[in-house]
Amino acid sequence: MENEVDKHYSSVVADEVAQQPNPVVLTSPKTDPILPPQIWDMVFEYLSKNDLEAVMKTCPEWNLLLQSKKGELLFPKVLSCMGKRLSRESALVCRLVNKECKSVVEQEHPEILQWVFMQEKIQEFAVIANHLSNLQRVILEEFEMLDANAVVEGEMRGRLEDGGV
Amino acid sequence: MALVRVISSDGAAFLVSQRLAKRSGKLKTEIETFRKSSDNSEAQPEIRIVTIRAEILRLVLQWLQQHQNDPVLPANQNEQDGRGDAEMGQSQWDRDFLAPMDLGIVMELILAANHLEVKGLLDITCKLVESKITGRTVDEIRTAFKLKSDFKGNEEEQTRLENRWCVEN
Repeated sequence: MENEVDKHYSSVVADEVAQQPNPVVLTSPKTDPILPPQIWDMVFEYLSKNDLEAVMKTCPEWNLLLQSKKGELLFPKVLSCMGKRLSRESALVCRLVNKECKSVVEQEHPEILQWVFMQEKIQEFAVIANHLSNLQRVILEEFEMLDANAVVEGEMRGRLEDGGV
Repeated sequence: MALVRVISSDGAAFLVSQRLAKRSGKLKTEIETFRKSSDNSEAQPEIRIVTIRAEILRLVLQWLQQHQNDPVLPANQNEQDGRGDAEMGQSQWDRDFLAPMDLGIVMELILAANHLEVKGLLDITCKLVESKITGRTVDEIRTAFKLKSDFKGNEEEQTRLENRWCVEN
């Protein structure tokens, strides 16, 4: 367990250091009992996004510990606050970031889903039109074949009648 | 001077004038609610903001202090395109105010300005985030905001295709 904690602690510190211009020392708030930051980090893995956001706002120590998760926790909410302030071009790019961002952008810019719906219908109509066109071609071919048969039949009947005469 | 105590989520108390606090729609409502429910008209209101930590609350109050003589913008003004307001309202002081902040702080400031209903601050911070998004690829946005993709299979490709349809419209 000790090795696992040390390993985990190293990765936490490495992540946090990578995010900061200057190396930071992570500390824990005064709780009873006091737990080191790497243990809090393990505990936080079990929390939902809303709970993590509340934790982040509880004290400066936990805020620093969750620094690397801020984007994941706050960005979708920021997009929601921005609403129509976000241009259509930017909204479309944000729609590609992840599922949560896509959902938020579609709520704030409902016209996007309308366009997508319209385009899907256009494509469905195109498929139906293609089928109809194929059907029309087949029917015409059948008619042409019937006509051709009728001509052949007529000719044969004529010849038979001529022969009979 | 009538004062109000505003307490952050991490327990820091800020003593500010009610005149200044009332420039925030949320704080104004809270102060009025306190007045109606309190028998003592001289009592000092105490408002606990459980969603904003001290560092961010201090920044909001600092911005309000700087803009205390500006006209209060109604929350729904120019709702369709708030960008115009930001262009008009952004002073050199605002630019200097936002310059040292990292994106994490700016995002917290947007949520705080939205919660406290401070439209001017919301406009300029949104404008800043918009500038970090405009003209960037999705991977650059993921890197800048430390986000991960959770699309599976061809979901991202399908979304790209849908985006192309929207651009054509």
